[in-house]
Amino acid sequence: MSTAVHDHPHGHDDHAHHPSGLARYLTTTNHKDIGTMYLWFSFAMFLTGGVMALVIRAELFQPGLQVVNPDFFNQMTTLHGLIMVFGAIMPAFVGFANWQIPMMIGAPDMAFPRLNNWSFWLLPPAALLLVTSLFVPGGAAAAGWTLYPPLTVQMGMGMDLAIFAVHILGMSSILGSINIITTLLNMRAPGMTLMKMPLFCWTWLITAYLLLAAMPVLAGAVTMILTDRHFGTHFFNPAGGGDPVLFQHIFWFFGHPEVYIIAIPAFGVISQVIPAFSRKPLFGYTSMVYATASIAILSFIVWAHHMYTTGMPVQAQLFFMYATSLIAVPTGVKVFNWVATMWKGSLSFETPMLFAIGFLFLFTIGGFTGLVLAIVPIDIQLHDTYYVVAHFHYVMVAGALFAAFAGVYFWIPKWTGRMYDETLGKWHFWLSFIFFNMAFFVQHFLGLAGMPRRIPDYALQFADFNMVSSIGAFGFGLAQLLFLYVVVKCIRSGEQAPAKAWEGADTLEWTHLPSPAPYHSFETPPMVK
Amino acid sequence: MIGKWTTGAMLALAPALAGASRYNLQDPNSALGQDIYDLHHLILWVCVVIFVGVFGFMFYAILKHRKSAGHPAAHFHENTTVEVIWTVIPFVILIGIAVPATRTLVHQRDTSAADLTIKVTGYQWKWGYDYLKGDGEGISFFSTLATPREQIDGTAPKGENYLLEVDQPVVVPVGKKVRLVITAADVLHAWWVPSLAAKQDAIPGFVRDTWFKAEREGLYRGQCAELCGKEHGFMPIVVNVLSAEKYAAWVNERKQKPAAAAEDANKQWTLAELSARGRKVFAENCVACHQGDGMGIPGSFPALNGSKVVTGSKQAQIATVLHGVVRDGKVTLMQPFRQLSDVDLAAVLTYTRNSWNNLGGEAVMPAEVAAARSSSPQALHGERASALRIAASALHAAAPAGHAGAAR
Amino acid sequence: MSTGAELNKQRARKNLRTALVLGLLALASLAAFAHKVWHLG
Repeated sequence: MSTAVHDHPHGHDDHAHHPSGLARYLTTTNHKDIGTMYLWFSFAMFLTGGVMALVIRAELFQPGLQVVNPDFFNQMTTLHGLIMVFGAIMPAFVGFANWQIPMMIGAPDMAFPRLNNWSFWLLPPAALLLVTSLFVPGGAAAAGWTLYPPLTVQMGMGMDLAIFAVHILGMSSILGSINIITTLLNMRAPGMTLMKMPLFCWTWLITAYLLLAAMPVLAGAVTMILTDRHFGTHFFNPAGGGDPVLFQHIFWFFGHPEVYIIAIPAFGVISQVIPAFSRKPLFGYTSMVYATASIAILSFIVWAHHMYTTGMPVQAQLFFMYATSLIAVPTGVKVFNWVATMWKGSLSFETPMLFAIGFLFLFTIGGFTGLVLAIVPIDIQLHDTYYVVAHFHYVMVAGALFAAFAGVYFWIPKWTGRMYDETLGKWHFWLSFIFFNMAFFVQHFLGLAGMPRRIPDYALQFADFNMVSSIGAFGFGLAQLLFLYVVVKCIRSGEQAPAKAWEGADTLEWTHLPSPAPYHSFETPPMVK
Repeated sequence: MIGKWTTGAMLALAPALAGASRYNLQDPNSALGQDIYDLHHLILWVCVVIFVGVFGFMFYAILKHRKSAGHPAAHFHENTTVEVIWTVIPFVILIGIAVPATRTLVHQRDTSAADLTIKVTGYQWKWGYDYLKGDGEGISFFSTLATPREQIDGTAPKGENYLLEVDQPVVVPVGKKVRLVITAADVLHAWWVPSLAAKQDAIPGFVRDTWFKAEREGLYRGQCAELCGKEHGFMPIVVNVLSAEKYAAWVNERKQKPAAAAEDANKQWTLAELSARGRKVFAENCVACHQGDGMGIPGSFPALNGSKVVTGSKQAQIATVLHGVVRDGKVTLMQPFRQLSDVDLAAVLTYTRNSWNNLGGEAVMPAEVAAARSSSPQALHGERASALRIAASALHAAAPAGHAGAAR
Repeated sequence: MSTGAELNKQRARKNLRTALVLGLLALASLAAFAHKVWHLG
């Protein structure tokens, strides 16, 4: 499927420069090829993790155990989380970064093209480790994606495979971040100052720094679990003087920045899409940059809001509650800026804009439930319930995933030189929007009423909402097959797209490059005024 | 479409405001719970108002500022006044929320001046309760899921309190401040009863505390709220809140119980009697892993049917249930079941030796279990007593975290 | 075309320096983490 992206639209001259077929993709150092591979990889992982989600929702369709046993259920929740976070969402945005950053700043490629190839090709083995761990004795890791010990110490060898997978994924992220930062700092076209970069580039610059700081911590944390499991250390084993809660501190010191590693590039995509379809410049560019940076910095001092029920001192709880609430201020600034961008614009509602508005609307709900959860006494009631599940799916799915869809529909004319089917794109949006809310809005009620998360079976009073949620989840899953169809149809038989496919788009890839963007672009940098 | 959906959400929220627990936090049964309930409402309303305001603007723009309606694009892209206003106002709102939140939290964390202190221990997959201080001191028991396996597997109709029922609820007096000191024996668990607004992680090797003060009598149900392995969804909590008199009567009755157990132990048991009792013990303690057909779960939990341990020497099998299976210095998921009485252990062993294809024809007598127990280095009473000592010293050493709120 | 190629050569050294600094930053993060854990233990 991947070859189709390039072989059809590109001229035959390109083929003289590189091998064809599989060898091309194994050896490519071209940012566009690598971006394409990242995107297809993340979509494959999205479907894999999605099937696991559907196993979970099938089991929860009604009370009682019908589909899987509790142990396999836990393996599903664990792998679903790991695969969606590390395999689907993160690589998707790295794919966007690869395709777009060089074109948006007028650079010929990423700063380290061979390193870029290596960053990508680390991913498939890691994904393979995660998926094959299902088939080893004892099954895959079943301790939740948060990998809390001592439960992780009880797991079979599937846990070790998951730990190695996390190591490899972390390595890939760190290398990718170094590449992105270097590209953004050194490869901008003459005249493009930092404060003239498109906001998408800014968000990635900030995200890459977050990755650099957070990923080594995760690697360290899972290594400690590995040594606790096999080499007789007692970091987290109370019998040897260790502390299970220490892991939670380390994990969330990584884990909360991770939330923003996922969300901030999504903000970047939205900040490109909304001005383009409002035909009006982004409102408050400077405050957007500062707000993003503030969110990134705050993300390092709020980690323990995931741990209010561990029984830390009340002073610590107060500190983390105040710091967490503070994030609402820069996040609010961003939402207000987006709405102000639309205000008095000349709006049109093609699929990318629909997904951007859907993002804005639903992500804000996720933000508000986040504020509710920041308040310690309420969080103590809601911690580890379906309310939390609903909250982070509003942020991760309606937030990050919808932004990724907006980005794909927005840039696919530039990538393929062809237009997607607008009617089908709109169908994809509305089906996703409706089924998403059906699947996740009711989970707020489940959590409030007292249904814990990560349980394969539940009390009878939760039955009706769970059934609604499961139907919504299956509808949402099926809607994504429509997305696949729209993309394939676009690549194969979409109408020819003009160089500037969107009236309001004004970044370099639209104003300086034809559609599809040539295999080698900006070998001579453009002058930016 | 979006508008329609918003209306739907509002309609769904409407009953919540009337206090129906279907769409909202469960009806609180304590003053603290009521505070949290009100705090949640306050924040929910603040969020709803802001949400409607912001998206009112957005939908107005979507309706009026569209290209198809011929609206020309303006060109402004900043306005310092507006930007300062919408940075400052949220900040002020946050302070408004932080004040009641802080007050409630300080109250919530104040575990001092308790009338009754109970130690709660999370196990894979049951709860242990030891009454440490106050009326009922010395009472100690385990609480496991009472829902029959058939209901879970769907071969029997599900009861009203499906998955939220236990064999022995934890019993407390109404209107008294009950302090829970919470720990775990194996992995993380979390003790949670929503209507009492008490949730606290149970952490092996560490003692944490929380409290509640129930205002009404009755049964209040909750569940383990921290993933603790395969049966995480099957270790509920039931709190039975009694009046002062009924509570005193319950304490009295519990104190008689050891005598009944001793009587049991002295009885002459037949194989059939033991096996019948063992079937029940098996259903409560063993079936989750080893399965009703004794075949276990291949790769995770060994079969008992045809197992060499079960069909082999009685001594080895008794040792297995008393000490658990230790591999590489770590207790595996097959944990010690010392908390069961000699009779129950003898019964369940007899049952496994005479069920499925295991036709040993031999009973394990309570006396044999008792002998093995007393000769083992970690006899039940010794272990229990030391666990109690640890908890008691923690009780005195750790000043309650929320001491500042004692004034309230 | 040629100006671009020259620019890229000039950029190569600068890129390596930047990457070195960033690599050290990642290592520093790991070191800070190890230091912290060491002292907690």
